[in-house]
Amino acid sequence: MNRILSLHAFILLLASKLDFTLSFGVHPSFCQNRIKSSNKKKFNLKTASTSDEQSPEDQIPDINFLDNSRPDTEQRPSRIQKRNGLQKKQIEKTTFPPVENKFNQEWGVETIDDPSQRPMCPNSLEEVADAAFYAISSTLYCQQNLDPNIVSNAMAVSVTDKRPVGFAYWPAGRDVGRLGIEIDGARHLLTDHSRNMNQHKTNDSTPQRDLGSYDIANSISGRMATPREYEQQTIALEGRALRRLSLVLASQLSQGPWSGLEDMDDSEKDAKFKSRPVALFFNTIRQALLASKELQLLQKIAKLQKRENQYDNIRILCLGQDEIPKDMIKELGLDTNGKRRRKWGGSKELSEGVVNPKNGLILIVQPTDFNNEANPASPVIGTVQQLQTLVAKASIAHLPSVVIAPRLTEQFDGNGIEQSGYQKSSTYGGLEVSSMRI
Amino acid sequence: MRSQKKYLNNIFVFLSQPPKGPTPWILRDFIPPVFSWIGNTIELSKRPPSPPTLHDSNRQPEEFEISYISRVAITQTVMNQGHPWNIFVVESVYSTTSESGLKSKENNYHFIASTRPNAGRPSRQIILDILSEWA
Repeated sequence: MNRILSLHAFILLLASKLDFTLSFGVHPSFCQNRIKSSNKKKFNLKTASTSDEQSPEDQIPDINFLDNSRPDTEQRPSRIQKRNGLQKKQIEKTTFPPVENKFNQEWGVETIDDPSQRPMCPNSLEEVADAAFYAISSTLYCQQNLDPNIVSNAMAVSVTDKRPVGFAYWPAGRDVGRLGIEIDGARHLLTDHSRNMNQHKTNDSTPQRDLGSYDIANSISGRMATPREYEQQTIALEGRALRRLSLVLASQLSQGPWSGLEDMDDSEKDAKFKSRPVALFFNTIRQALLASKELQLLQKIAKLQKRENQYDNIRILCLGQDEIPKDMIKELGLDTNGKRRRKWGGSKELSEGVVNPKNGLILIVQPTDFNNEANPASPVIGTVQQLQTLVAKASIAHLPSVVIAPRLTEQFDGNGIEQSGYQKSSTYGGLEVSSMRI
Repeated sequence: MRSQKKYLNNIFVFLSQPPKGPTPWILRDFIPPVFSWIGNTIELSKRPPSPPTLHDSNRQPEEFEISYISRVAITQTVMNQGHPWNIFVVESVYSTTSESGLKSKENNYHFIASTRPNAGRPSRQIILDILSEWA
C-alpha cells in the first residue's frame, strides 16, 4: 500500500514539472495537430507531384471545434472569404452560354453524325400503323423500353422535377390496359398510302392522282379557296386520314397471334384466337357511318389484293350510343346455386389492371367534346363521362383500351395552360401557352 | 372546381373531390403516350412554290420538278432506347409530267436532331431554334 502511494506522489510531481494539464476535454492543440498531419500531403496541379510541405495559404487556422458558436481567431473571416471565392470559380466553370445551355441542359438536343445510325420516320399510313401496332402490342406484354423518367424521378430533389411516367409501378404490367397514342397531321400520309394501293392494283409506276396531290387551294371549281374553306377541307381530310389509319391499325391488331409475343397453345388453336375482335369507337354517328364506308373501301381493296379476311374482325361503334360487344366480354361463371358469380380475386385483378389482349381490344378514335367536323363546329355534351364509362367497363372485362389522339377541352384551364406545368406544349394536341395568347 | 372549406379535401355529402392540377383527370391514365407521330408540328409552306416560267414567254413548262422543305415532323415511341423525341424535316418533291398532265407529290423525311423526354414534347420555339442551327 505504501508503495502504491509513493508511486502516485511521484507521478504528480513529474506532471507538475512538465506542466501537463489533465482535463476531461480534448485540448485544442491536439485537434489542430491531427488536422495538420492529415493535410500534409497535397496534390500540386502545376507540378503534378505530392509535396510534404505546406504552403502558407493552405495552413489551417486555429479553430476551436468544441465551440463553433464564435470564432476564436482573426483568421476565420479570411477563411470564409476563401471558401466563397472557390464556389464562385466552380459556378463559372459549369455555366454554359445561353443557347448551348438551352439546347443541352433544358432540352438535351442530340444530333447523329453517322447517317446510317439516324432513326427513320414512318412516311406512309401503313408504316405509321405498323409502328403504332409494334408499340401497343409490345407494351401490352411489357416488352417496351423503360421510361428514363423513372430514374430521374428517383433522383429528383423537388416535386416539380418529377415527371409522369408510364408502367412504372408494381406489379409488372400494371396500367398497361390503358394506352394512348398521338397522331396529328395524318392527312400528309394519304399520298403514299393511295399510291401504294394504286400500284398494287395496276402495277403501274406512273404517278396517280391521289388525295395527296389534291391541291386544296385550287380544288373549289378552279378558284382559290377562302381561308375558311381551306380550314374546312383540311379538317375533313384530317378526319378521313385518321379514320383510315385507325382502321388499318385495327386490322393489324386483330390478326393473331402476335409474332414474338403470343404463343398458340393447343387449346387456343382455333379460329377465334387467330383473329381477335377489335371494337372501334367514334365520337358521332356521322363519323361512325363515314368509317363504315371507309372500311368497305378498304375491304374491296383487300379483296383485290387477295387478303379477304384482313378487315373482318373490326366492329365500328359510336361512343355513348353503343356498348362493348357481348362476345368480347367473358361471361361470368355459375356457382352451385346457379347464380352468376365473379371469379374469386377478381377485384384484386381489377385493382392491378390485369388485361388479356387475346380477348380483344377497344380503340377510341379521337374522343373530343368539341366537334369541329360539324359545320358550324359545336360542343358535344357528355363525352368525358361516356369515355370514362367505356374505359371502366373495358377494365372490368379485362380488355385493353387504346385512345387515339384525344382532344378534350378539359385540356384547357382558365389560364390556357393545359398540361402538367413542366411542358411547354401539351403531348396531345400540341397546344402551347404562346399560341393561346394569340 | 367545387367550392369547399379549406380543411376539407372532398365534399362531405357526395364525397366528390376537386380535380388535382391542370392535367385532365381522364387523360392521366393515358400520359405519356406509347407512340406519337406528328406530321405537321410546323408547317413551313402550305403550297408548293410556283414553277419557273420560260424565258421566251410567260407560260410555264409542261414538265417540272420542285423540291422544297414543307414542314417539320416529330415522332416518339416507347420502343426506342431513352424514348427520345426525333425531329425530321420533310422535303416535298412536287412534279408534273407532260404525258399525263398529273401532279404528284413525294415526301422525304430527313432526321435533324432528337430531344430528351423529360422536357416533354418539343415546343415550336425549340424546333425553330434547332432548324435555324441546322439550316
